[in-house]
Amino acid sequence: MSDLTGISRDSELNGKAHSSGCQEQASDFSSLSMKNFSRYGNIPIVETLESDISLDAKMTAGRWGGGISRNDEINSNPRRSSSSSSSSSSSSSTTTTTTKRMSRPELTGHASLFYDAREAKKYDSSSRMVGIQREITERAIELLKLDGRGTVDGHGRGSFRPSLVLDVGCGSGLSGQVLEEHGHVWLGCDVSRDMLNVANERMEHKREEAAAASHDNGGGSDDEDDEFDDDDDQDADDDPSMPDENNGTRRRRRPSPPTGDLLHHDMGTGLPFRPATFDACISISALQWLCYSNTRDQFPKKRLMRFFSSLYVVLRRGARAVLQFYPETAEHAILISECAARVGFAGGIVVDYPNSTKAKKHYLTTKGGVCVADDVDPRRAGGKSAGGKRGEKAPRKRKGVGKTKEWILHKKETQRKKGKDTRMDTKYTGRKRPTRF
Amino acid sequence: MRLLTHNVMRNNASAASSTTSPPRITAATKIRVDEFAASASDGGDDDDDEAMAASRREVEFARHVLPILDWEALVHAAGALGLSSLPPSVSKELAEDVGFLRALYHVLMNVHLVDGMLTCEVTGREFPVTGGIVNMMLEEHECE
Repeated sequence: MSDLTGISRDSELNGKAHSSGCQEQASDFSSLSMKNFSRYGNIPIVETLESDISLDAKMTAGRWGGGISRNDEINSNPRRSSSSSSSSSSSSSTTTTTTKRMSRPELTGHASLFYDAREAKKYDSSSRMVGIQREITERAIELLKLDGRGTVDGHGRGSFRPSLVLDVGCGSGLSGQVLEEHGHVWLGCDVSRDMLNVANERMEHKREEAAAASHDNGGGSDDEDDEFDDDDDQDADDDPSMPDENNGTRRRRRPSPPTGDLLHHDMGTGLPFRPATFDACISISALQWLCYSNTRDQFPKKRLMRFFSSLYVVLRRGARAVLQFYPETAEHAILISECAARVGFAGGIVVDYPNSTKAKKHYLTTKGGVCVADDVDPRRAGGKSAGGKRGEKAPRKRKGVGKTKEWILHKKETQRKKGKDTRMDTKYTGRKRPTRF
Repeated sequence: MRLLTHNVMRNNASAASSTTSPPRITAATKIRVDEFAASASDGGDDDDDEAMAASRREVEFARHVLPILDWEALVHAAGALGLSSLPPSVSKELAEDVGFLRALYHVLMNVHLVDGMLTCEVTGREFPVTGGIVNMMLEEHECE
């Protein structure tokens, strides 16, 4: 037995997957590869790697011809990492080609094809993704300026009124969750059934929690400043539905039932709702999918027009829509805002963090009839936003804070002291120049 | 799919542009009615407060949403799901009654059609409901 173990170890050093339990090895490799590649965040690469490995495994299985029993030792062999790194280096060439695919999933094909069951699960479980989507949703809700807006707290005063919100391209319900936390009722639609299934599962879970909590007649206070009873340190630390002795740190209030509902629907075919239904509409990272055609009879402009005209119809008078999207090019952004304007929406695109390629976010904000010109958050504006108010701009002629004549002279002195070649100081030094052309 | 969702829906295929009422529920193989005790339990005062606030929000929402409902369709749909307690029309006084609003909230939000079928009256087009999600995917040629 030990001899056989020796053989298998050697083969691993060579980077070949051994046949003994090569099935398990393949799956272990894939779990390893996921760990390696979650760093890069390039999810499709995992697919490439897995297919490489299973091919490898199949080939070696033929050669070694199985029959050796699976040994736990093998799997826990620390040398495993070397074999995985060798396979990762061989596929590093594929890294660059697939990177582009990840940053623009719209190029791969139809949304429902990209977001299949596995992708949907991954999307939903990646904490980075979840964090980003939450943040975007919070910002979108902020831009919405809903009436009677307020957070749901244990001592909520009765003035808050939930709004009926449409979430276009709701995906796995991440944005819907945030809407629920703000106390609104939402309807989500998405073209990918798998994503909706994930969302459904989450809502199921939430529903069960709420049902359990409400049937649990155990009192317990939901005070803002209550002292947590630490005697019951059950492992249900994060489970808010447990009787309130063990209140978690964040969600102290009793879990409320989910207020969202889902529809399987393609936004490019127009929104299937009655006129003047919704108080607001949000869309997070979904609109750009409309800019690409996936089948021969799909025309982006047509789909965009259908979408926007139906959106205009289903929103109540004066209701706002905030649609965050990732435009691939400026043309896309223009196309989208053109279509919005053509159906009668007024508004503009708010760009958060415009100076950073990665953090930049575009929010198409619209309101039936009235221009939204005051949504610029000076913190995020970076000085520019289409349709927004101009930030305080100093008079154009003024030099920057530090560049007065005095400063220039001082700087030149310093340079001279350093021994650098500096021009003489003349009456022209630091003089106000005439206006630029 | 809750009754609220059903009520605000419509078939927006070009062939059905003459109607804005929701497609009828023609088959309801699986229904679910959720029960959440919104009323206060024997807990402390704070519990009460929270439950009261939640209840108030529900009433406010029901009041807000009432004008946009297609009442006739709602009664019909509720009937299809086994609820026959809705009045055929809503009078002004009834619309202000808190008890009625609370019950309305329950009917709109907690009654779900899990598996079934919706059929458009005008075109006969069917929309299946599976796992609580209604399939409204239209083909390209069906749209305007």
